[in-house]
Amino acid sequence: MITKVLIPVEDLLFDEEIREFLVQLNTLAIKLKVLHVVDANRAVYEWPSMEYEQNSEALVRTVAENLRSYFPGVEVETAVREGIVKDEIAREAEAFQADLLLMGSHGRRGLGKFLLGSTAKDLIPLSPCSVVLLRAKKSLKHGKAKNDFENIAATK
Amino acid sequence: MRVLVAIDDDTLINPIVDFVAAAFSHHGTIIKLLHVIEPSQVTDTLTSMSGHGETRKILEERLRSASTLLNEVRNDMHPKMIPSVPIEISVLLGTPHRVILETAEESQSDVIVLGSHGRGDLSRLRISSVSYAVLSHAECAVTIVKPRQWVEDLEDSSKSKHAGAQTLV
Repeated sequence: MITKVLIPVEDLLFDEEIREFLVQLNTLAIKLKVLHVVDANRAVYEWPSMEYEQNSEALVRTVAENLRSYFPGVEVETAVREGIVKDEIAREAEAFQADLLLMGSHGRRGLGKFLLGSTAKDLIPLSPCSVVLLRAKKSLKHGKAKNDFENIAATK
Repeated sequence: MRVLVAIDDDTLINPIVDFVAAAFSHHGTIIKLLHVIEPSQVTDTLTSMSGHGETRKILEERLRSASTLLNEVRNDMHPKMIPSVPIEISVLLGTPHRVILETAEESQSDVIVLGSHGRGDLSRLRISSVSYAVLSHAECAVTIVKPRQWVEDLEDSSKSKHAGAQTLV
């Protein structure tokens, strides 16, 4: 049985794919948790910390609200952690006792650089449960993630 | 939903069957079980034996054991799925990641399901080269199935790999 699904997100790029996958599961019985990990190494020089934190909160809230509206009645928790991304995801999966990690195959960092995000690859050996890596639909592959992130920041 | 399940050996069959049953037991799902025989496995066995003409024999033997394995998986899977879900079986010869990717493309798979590791405890610490190649190049979603390894399971190291949810790191 799959009852608890942890959804680590970096942006809104995989929103639709996440939804499409969840439709497959028996959503009446599942609990979801949306997680964003603030990469401790990057936040320092890329964004002023406060702003980044607020964006992260806005991101997980947006993802969770979208999920709630598609799957009414399903419990959706959110969490923002800070640290080494793969370690924090694995830790959260264990604490939440996740049956499944559902995530995009790459985040913004990976775009144009690697086909497979390094976090996804490094996470699999650490993950205490199965991992589903979603592939972005071709039409979305280029240039959408950044806009999404900016939109979140703008609507907070 | 077209689901391609690549089965390497019998190591993670239980968790794989459980995952597929939990996630894809719906009308409209089509399951394909795939095992890939590497030509090098056949020729490696060959060099350790004398004479030619053995290739065919070894290959036939590999084919037989692979179809036996996949049939076992199908038999495990059937009762856990709704009856209308067809489960196809396919044994192919070639480089595993290439064959998996090509099959996924030909059968227009929506998701590829792989086990997280093969035999041997060290292989659990890293992602296998086949998984890595499939993850890197697949056009569709990829699921890496792992037995659950929550904290409470870590204390009991004697559980067999077939205990599925109880297996430890």
